[in-house]
Amino acid sequence: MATEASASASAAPAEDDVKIRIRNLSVNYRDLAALKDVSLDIRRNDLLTIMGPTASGKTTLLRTINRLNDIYPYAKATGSLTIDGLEVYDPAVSASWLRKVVGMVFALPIPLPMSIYDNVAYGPRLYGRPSRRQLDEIVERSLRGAALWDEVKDRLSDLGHHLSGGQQQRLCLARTLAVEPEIILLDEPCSGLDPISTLRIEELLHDLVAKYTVVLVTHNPQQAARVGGDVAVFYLGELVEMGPAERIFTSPKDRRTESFISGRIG
Amino acid sequence: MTSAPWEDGSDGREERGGRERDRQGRSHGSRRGGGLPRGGDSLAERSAIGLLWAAAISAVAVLGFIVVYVLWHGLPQLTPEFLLQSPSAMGREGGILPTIIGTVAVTAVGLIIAIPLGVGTAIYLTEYTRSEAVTAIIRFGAECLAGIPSIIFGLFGFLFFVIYLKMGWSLLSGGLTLAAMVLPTIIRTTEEAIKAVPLSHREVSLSLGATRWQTVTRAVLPTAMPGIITGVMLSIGRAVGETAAVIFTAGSSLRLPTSIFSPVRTMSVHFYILAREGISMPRAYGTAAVLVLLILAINFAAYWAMNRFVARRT
Repeated sequence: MATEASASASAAPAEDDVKIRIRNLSVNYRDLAALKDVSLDIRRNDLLTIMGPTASGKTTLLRTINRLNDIYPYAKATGSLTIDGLEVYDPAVSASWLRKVVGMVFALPIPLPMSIYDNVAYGPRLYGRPSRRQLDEIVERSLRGAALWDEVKDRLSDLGHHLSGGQQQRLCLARTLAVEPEIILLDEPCSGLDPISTLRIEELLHDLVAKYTVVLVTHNPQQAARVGGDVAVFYLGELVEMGPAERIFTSPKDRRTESFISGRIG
Repeated sequence: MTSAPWEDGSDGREERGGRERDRQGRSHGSRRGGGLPRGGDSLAERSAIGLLWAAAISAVAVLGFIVVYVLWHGLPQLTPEFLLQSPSAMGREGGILPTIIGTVAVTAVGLIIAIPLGVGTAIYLTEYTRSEAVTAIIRFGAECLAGIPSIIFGLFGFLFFVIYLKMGWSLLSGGLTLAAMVLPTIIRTTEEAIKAVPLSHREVSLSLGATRWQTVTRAVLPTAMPGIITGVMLSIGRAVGETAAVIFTAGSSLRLPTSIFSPVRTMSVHFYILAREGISMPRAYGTAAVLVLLILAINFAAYWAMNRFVARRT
């Protein structure tokens, strides 16, 4: 399984090219097996799209990478998951430190009930006491990074949830960028958005890859095709196959991939 | 906030109602001349609205009557001397200053103890403990405490704080007793307020690298604050007006308190003694009027503060 998956990931990446290495990872919620023996590599400064129908374990995989599943006492992960060679589930690794390195954008935009400025500054304020000037700088840089600065620069003290849905989601992205993570996980970030807002987020993804390792989860094959990069197909907790988007969409090796792409399952 | 389940429910009903109306409109529309159904005006509907309205009005009327009655008899007593002088001749003459200070001081001591303890317990119960059994036991204990008559608290405070811990009749004994009495209210309301904060806010905070404590203090508590303040307000209301629990523990001294170990008399105790021992009914009403005004003032101040707080965040 392990060799098979990494072999199918475009031509076995070199060792130091790998940002996240997952080996024989299984996750169970009590009796429910959400991920079954998954092995895959995610390369540095690359975009990996995780695609699959509902209940295929996509979100579980993301929440395992940043250990957000720790908040569910009944979620049990076994196997190995390393970031830059560091075992994430090592008891010596602090979850809050890890989550600073691994940022996450959720399916629905969730601005905290505070101003746009405070939303973006939430992360930086958790570590040390940045000065007002430093914070101003971080907020501007992050909002520019999420292509939101021009729309909100004159109303930074407005409440975050007064923005439109698409703007809120970009605010959430800016909030994640403000922490200066190395990896960004996006969990169906466009599921609540209109087509134009979706397009803006997808465009942003390409800019992000220059600086970050990006993992995008989607249940929408069209989005995976538009975004490109590598695609990993999941079905019922199993990694079905993985490879460059063109290959997956033109000549899928697995029948389940074909059924999903063509809309027979999903 | 997330939309509550009942909102979905009522939406659903609306839709169903709408569809029915459509059907009715099609079948009976011409006969009725306008097509609008008269379902909303049925006798049952009208009498229900009438009864609810009457219930609401009488609830407010009772409150209004009490306040007006007390103020009617008490306000004529309110002179600067009454508010700013110490009583003489057991309270038949002079003012009630020591009892005003005593009330505020005992309540303050009680809250200073009860708020951190109660909010802390609620945070622990909702955010930290994962053991259902521990939570259930603490919750059950808190609920039992809430149902105990205040005079029992007074007796407990007298035996435990005053006698056993040798604190004597004092601000501290009274404050501790009041704290024990209002603790369940603060725990329960804080718990509800914290539970109403969506899980997603915690996830966002954690995903940005916050520790659990940072998440509680920066993402959860600010959102829960209006609910917590409501609980504290209810507690202040109960503590300020409490008589039985403090008469046994804070004493009934008419001297101005000088330290936390001084005995004090609260306004409600003063009122009780004035009325019970027939010292002076007009003075008793005057004291009651000050007490009512104080409670009203505290409530208005709290709601004003809460509205400002909420307005900044919604």
